[in-house]
Amino acid sequence: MANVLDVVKQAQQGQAPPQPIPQFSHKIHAGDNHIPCLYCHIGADKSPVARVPAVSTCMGCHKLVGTDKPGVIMLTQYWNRQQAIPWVKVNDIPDHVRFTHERHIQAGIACQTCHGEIQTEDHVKLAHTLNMGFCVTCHKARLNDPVHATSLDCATCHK
Amino acid sequence: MEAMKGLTYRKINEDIASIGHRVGKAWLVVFGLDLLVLTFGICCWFYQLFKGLGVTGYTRPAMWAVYITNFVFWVGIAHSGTLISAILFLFRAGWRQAIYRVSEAMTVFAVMTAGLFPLIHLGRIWFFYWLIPYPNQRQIWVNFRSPLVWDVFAVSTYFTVSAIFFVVGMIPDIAAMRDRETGLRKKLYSLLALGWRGTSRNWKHYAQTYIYFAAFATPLVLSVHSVVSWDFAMAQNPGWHSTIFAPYFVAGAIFSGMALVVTLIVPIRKAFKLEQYITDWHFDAMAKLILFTGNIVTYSYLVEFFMAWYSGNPYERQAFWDRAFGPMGWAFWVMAACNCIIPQLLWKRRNRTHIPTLFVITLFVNVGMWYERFVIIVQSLNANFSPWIWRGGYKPTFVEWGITAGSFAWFFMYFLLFVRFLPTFSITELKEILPRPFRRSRKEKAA
Amino acid sequence: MNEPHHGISRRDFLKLVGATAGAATVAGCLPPKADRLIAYVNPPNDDIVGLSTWYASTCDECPAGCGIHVRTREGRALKVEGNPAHPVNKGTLCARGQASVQGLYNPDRVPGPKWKRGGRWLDVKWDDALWMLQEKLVAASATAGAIQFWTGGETGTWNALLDDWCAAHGAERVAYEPFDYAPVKEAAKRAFGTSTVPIVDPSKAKYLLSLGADFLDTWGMPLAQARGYDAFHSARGGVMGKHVQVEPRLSLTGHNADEWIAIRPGTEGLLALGLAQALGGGVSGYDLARVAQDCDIAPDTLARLVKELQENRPALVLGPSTAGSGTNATETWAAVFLLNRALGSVGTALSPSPGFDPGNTASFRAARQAVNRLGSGNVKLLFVHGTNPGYWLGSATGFSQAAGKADFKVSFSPYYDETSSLCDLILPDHHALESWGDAEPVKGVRGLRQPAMRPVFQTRQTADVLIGLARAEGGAKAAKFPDATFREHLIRRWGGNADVFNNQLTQGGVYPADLPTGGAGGGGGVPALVAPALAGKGDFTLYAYPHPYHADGAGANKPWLLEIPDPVTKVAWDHWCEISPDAAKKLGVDYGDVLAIDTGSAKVELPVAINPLMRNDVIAVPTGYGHTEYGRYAQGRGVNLFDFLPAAEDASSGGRAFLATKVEVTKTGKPWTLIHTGGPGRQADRAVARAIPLTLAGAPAGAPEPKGEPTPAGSDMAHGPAAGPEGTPPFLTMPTFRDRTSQLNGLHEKQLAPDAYQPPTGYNQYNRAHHRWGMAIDLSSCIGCSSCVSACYAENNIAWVGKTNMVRGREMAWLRIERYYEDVEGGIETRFVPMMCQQCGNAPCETVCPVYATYHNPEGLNVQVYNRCVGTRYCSNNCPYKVRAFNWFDYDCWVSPLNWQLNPDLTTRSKGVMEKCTFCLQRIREGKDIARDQNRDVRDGDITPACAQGCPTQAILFGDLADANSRVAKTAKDARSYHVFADLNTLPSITYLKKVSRRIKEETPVPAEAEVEA
Repeated sequence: MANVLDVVKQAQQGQAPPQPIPQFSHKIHAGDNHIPCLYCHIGADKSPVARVPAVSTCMGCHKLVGTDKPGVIMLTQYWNRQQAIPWVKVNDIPDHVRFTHERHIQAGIACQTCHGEIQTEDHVKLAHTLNMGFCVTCHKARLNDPVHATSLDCATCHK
Repeated sequence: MEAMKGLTYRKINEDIASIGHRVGKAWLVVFGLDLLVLTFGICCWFYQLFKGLGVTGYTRPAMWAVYITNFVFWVGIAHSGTLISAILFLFRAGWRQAIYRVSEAMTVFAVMTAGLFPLIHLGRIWFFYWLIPYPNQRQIWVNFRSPLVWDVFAVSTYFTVSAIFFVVGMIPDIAAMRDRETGLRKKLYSLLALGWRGTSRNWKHYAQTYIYFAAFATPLVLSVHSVVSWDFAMAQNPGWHSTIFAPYFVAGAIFSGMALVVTLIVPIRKAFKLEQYITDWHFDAMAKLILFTGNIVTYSYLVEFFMAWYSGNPYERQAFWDRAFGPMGWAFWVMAACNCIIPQLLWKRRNRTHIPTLFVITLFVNVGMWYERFVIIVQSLNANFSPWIWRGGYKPTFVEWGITAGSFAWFFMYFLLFVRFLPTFSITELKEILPRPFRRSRKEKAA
Repeated sequence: MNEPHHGISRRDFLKLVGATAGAATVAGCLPPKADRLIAYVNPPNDDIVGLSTWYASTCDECPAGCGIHVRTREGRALKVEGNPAHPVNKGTLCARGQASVQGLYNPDRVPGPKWKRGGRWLDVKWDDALWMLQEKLVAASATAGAIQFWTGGETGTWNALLDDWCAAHGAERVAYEPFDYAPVKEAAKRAFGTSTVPIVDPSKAKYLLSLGADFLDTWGMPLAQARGYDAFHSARGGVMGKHVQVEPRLSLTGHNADEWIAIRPGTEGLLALGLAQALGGGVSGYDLARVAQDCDIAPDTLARLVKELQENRPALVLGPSTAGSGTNATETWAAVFLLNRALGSVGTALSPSPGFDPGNTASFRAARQAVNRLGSGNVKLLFVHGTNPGYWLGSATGFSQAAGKADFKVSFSPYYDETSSLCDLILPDHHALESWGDAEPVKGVRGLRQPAMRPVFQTRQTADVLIGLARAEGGAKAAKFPDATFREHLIRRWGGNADVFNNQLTQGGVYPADLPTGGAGGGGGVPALVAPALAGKGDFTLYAYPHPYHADGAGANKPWLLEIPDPVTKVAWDHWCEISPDAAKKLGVDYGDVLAIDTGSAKVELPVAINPLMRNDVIAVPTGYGHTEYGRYAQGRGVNLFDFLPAAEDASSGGRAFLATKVEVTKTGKPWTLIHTGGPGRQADRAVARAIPLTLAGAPAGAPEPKGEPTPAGSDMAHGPAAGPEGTPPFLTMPTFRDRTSQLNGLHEKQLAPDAYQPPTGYNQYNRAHHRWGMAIDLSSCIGCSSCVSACYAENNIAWVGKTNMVRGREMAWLRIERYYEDVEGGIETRFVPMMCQQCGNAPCETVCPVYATYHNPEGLNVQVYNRCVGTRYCSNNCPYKVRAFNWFDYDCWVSPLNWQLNPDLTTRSKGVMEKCTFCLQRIREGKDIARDQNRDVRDGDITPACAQGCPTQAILFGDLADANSRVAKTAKDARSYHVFADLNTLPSITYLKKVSRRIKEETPVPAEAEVEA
């Protein structure tokens, strides 16, 4: 089935599905205003998971910032309902793979390496299929990296 | 050669090429029943596919059982075909000419059946293509150390070669049928005949090609089943890990193959009144070969037991003690009776040429050879290294039986079609063995 | 998980957070993976999605009150491990403790308050239910004795609260559990003037004579005792005390003994007095000749026993536990204590004070009287909490009928059990892992219990309910309960200072480093011993022993505990009875045939398991089966012994006499497929379980490292503030290296543009030199308890396959305890071998896999890549240890909410895939990650697989063989070390240490090949 999934993903590549808050833009946040990724995606450098910011994190700024903008108003509604925002998943690794953001970020891999030039995108696109080929290519290239040598051991990701 | 009195080229053409028309209603009935069984087998397989292999009787330690048994059985069957058509051809054994077409067909169809089982037996058949080395974005390869990968190559090669050999060998005969037919059939035969005109150039090339393929196929007869035997010999299980497996399996293969040839030819001969073509002489020769290979097999059994005892290896000793006297010892005794004792009847010429007797004996051999594989696989696995895992044995469920029956139906489906639509016997070569004076009848001379 | 996203309930919400946390693999048992990213609305301060948070608490599965650490992820409790600092278990945990999560997520829990109308359970709102109850309570509490409150044996604050509450409402409190220790307590009162069970520490004795005490498994504080026993018996440094087990049917404890004396049931006290007399214990009238005759023991054996006892003082003697306690149990124990005095073990190996307090359980007699009062009809209102009299006393004392007399019956049970089915109202309590509380198994050892997660169901902690009821009534009653919640009450009891309390929470309570010991005065004198009164007639004595996992029946609805084979008989799922091979021959039955057991008053049928280690005149049956309610897994399995046994009691203490009757045993001729794991039970000279005579084991040359304390939760402590799951107030998370919350500090320095991100300096201090993970298993320490097996199930998402598949030998366990019988002089010796993937250096499985689904990784592991596996099963055929398990089906065993327990750190396997032990790869990865984060190398003890973590005797040692100084590397060089099937040149990473045996003269014979050490 794996390959079937690949095909599907190839199709998805470069597409940006509609999001619950269409006005939200990484370009504005990460690009124009140079907000570091880790500011919102807390824990990406110390946990396998790059956390999707909690609604409270957004409200941290948007209590005050741009409260008149439609997107922020939608956000505020979610906040008032104390409800999670059902963001649509764009970057998705195959099942049964244990990817860890922590190791990659601590090794100094830029987020853009896998997520594309996100700071220029209004809507998050699937920059790479994130299939095994994608991972292996990079790992092979850095096998003998002096500081952060990678590994091609299957157990690195498959557990 | 008395039996062949009165035969002429024309008569041979008549008799052989007309078989397809002489089948009649009986054929339809048999074919229908066959399809019924096949359907049942397919249903069982789908059931297994959706529920998981758990619907079979498989368990630890019997992780392999009936399916692999069938695989080895059918691969074995596949051997005699090429043996008869290739090796005996090179050795110029006259008696092969009457029967080689049937056994070649059998070969091709048997391989087609055998090929199913490694797949049916997979836990995740939808990934079967991972066993084939192909470049992929994952940058992962197959494990060339694994005998299963060798199987993939061995079996596919064998199938390709024997199929081509089969088709090439039929060209002149198909041409002959083409000339007698009309309508759609004629078109089809014309296609298969590849424009054969029977010119001497045609014949020259044909003969060369045929010899070439015979030479090419000969080593395969030995290699394929050796490779299959290594599935077991390469593993360290007591009862498997043995150096005699390759020759032992090849002999067994020819043994079972020959037996099935007889089993198939006897009814055809009766149904289509071909007593003139397939004579006691042929059966006698085949019976001798069965007796010979049967004794090789028997000898191998004895060697296995002797080595188990002589090596002093406690695991081997235990395994072979269990094989004969363990919880599933009965299977061993069925095998021994069918493969070692019953064939000894063939020492008597009377039994070799008395068709019903011979027929029954070959049936026993077929059963026996199936059980040989079953014993080797299941019994050895049950007598594995870890005493904690020893378990009473293994009980197949209706799924295994259903799929096994289905595989026979699958084989016979092709064979019935073959009898119906293709020259069941080699017209060409039958003509070759006619004694000279009979090559043309007086009438024709006069005319 | 593609629910509509408006109005997500808290539970779905947690599920979905789990999904974002890469837990999509849970999809193995849940709908397809989330296509939505659901984040927290208000994240807890400490919870980094994808990292574990640990809470300290106290186990509630048995009275021993072990300290535990609960691992949680995204607000879900996943695994329970021992608290290394706690004196009772010191980091270890038993099978029942491991399985407590299956009680928490049990699909048959009562989801919320239920009201019975017309025989059907209706949902009610908490408020309505409480209002209804309030009314009845006020009415009933007017007249004294109109309320009966049944509880389990409790200790600590909750116990006190119950007493206060009952006093306030004029309610009669009946604390009942079937295994009540009444005889022991009574005898201790007479002998030492205490009212507790003496604390047993074999390590302080030279000799251990157990008259039927199952102290490693079901009696007392098994983990503490097992630890002591290991020090006493595992022959480290060549010294090994002798353990003699005197029992009619050899218990798991007995299987580890050096000698077995098959005594006539019920005559243990006689033997004790006889020995006391022979040893000059001031006893007369019990000369050995008579004792030998009555106890059915060879006189010379007795003489030898006396001699050995004289030579090896202090010698510890223990009396019969549950199975052996008859109508003379108190006297028997009194005799035992007398003997201990004579042998000088009182105060050291056997310390009566403060002693172990299994809870203030009323005796069986008291319970029966209470039932009579209940039956008299004066009781208007019946409360039941933490006990199951409907199952334990159902027909034995007619509780079920008597309960009918009460007007209104309220159960606080979290499960639909036999008792709650009799009730009109169920107000389900929290599971222990969701509740507040404390326990004091030993005076001075006070363990705290805190919620590890939000309640799974709409339950309320009964303590809060009671407090609420009392306060609602106002007036004097309310005044008695100043605190609004039980938690506040708890804090008050613990000193009233919230900060101090929080600190205590991180430690899981307040306790000394070791169990307090001490002798006591009080003489006691010679008990007047009488022979046990046995009802019924027949050739067999019924020997009812507690099931090692289900015990009194509480564990009977946990699939793990049903699937893991019983350590002694290796039977799973079914209920069985045991007889000796000779008896079986006499009855003409074979394994699995059904026997009829007839006490004269009642008759049951059970399939038979033949056990070579028991007397011919005894039929043994485990308790804990035969539930009529209690859940899908427990129901309709076997026989309820508590009903079947005649209601006999120990004359002096009133405790229930389990050794109560003789039975007629007849063959029914009915067949039964009784699961039996593990072949013939003999090792066919294969030297799987090897042993070495004690005489040869002496040489301490290269003796294994002293094991020291188990190192589960690692050494370096990183405290950090953490909020509990939403709703519970913030309390500190576990001090453990797995907790990386401390690294939240300094987060903001790292807030640079990603491309400009600089890795922390010195990052590459982490030594990338290859590890070679290995294990050393000491067969001398392994007691066969199977705690490791359950730990493995809990850690690795292993499916249970149920009876039908297990009959075919399709169990998925990655780790099994092989139990081999070996013929030695004077009978049979049992050897337990924990068998899992040996992670061979030269692995047969790897070469045969056509697709590299299993391969050798740089750290010496045979990794199994589930994604790549096509299921040829060739690897299993070629594995000599047969430790690979194949997924014959997609096992739909994780019935919601059991699937909440699945460990998101590893794949849940699907149909057609091979799986096996991974040495807990996910834990190795975690350990290495932490080492990297702290810019250091992985240290010995950082990484501990689940099996090694929980092992009660720390028989399993894990570490890096490449590091010559690691404990495992040193132990692997021990004189006793060997590899299983070394002759096959598989070069396993697991080294076994031969069992040290008193009963063999020379090494076990080994096939010539096996001598070829790799």
